[in-house]
Amino acid sequence: MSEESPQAIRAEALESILIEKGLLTAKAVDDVIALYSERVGPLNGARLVARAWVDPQFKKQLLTDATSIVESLGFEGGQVEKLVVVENTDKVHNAVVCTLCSCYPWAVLGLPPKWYKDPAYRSRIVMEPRQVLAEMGVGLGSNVEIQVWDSSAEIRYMVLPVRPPGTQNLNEEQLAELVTRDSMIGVEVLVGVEVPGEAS
Amino acid sequence: MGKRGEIVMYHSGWVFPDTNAHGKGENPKHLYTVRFSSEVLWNKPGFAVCIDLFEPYLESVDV
Repeated sequence: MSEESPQAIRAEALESILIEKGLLTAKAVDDVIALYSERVGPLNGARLVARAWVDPQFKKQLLTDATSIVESLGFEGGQVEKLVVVENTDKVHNAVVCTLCSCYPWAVLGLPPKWYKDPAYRSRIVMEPRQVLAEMGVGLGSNVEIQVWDSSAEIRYMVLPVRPPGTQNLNEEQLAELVTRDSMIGVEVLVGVEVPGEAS
Repeated sequence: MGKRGEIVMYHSGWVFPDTNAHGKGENPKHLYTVRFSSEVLWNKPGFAVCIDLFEPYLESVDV
């Protein structure tokens, strides 16, 4: 067992005080944890991405009015009062940050990764995104323009990644399995898949 | 002195945190996404930063 971090100890202390004072119940906390660990997660976003890859009409709607799509699908989890989806292409690479704190599109991506809240990511991605992305494994040519979206108000952003090569024969469900959380934050480029039985 | 950017999206009115968080009312303000080129922001080429900004944070300029 590793020792608990000071933050975890502080959170536990706050939780027990709030429960003691009757302001919170342990069940409410468990319900929120279960919601985000079991029912809301990056799979919601991955489904949107896969569908956009196979359905041009849906893609158009996703890029112009993602909020009503998310509403109509009834994703749980809140935190998407307005969702904007930005498209990666071979000329433009988009990445998302919240420089002020940790605003994140929970309903489509679930819980944010730890590094998303890290002051280093938040300050550097808007000053030297090419270096930060390279450090995270995304090498972009100098001809690719980077656009960083700062969620500094209530609008939440999600990236529509480029469909990886070699995926022509996959169906929507198989495509959704390829889509990672990080690719929808814009800090990963999805690589192509090896098609069994086909030599490249 | 501000930096010059381009409004790329308009999001209608939203609760203004600068008053709401201080108990001074929702005071809705127009919200825009403003795109700043890295040349303008940091004097570096090759990227842009798009920031959501409420109208009181902006000044109009002659184009």
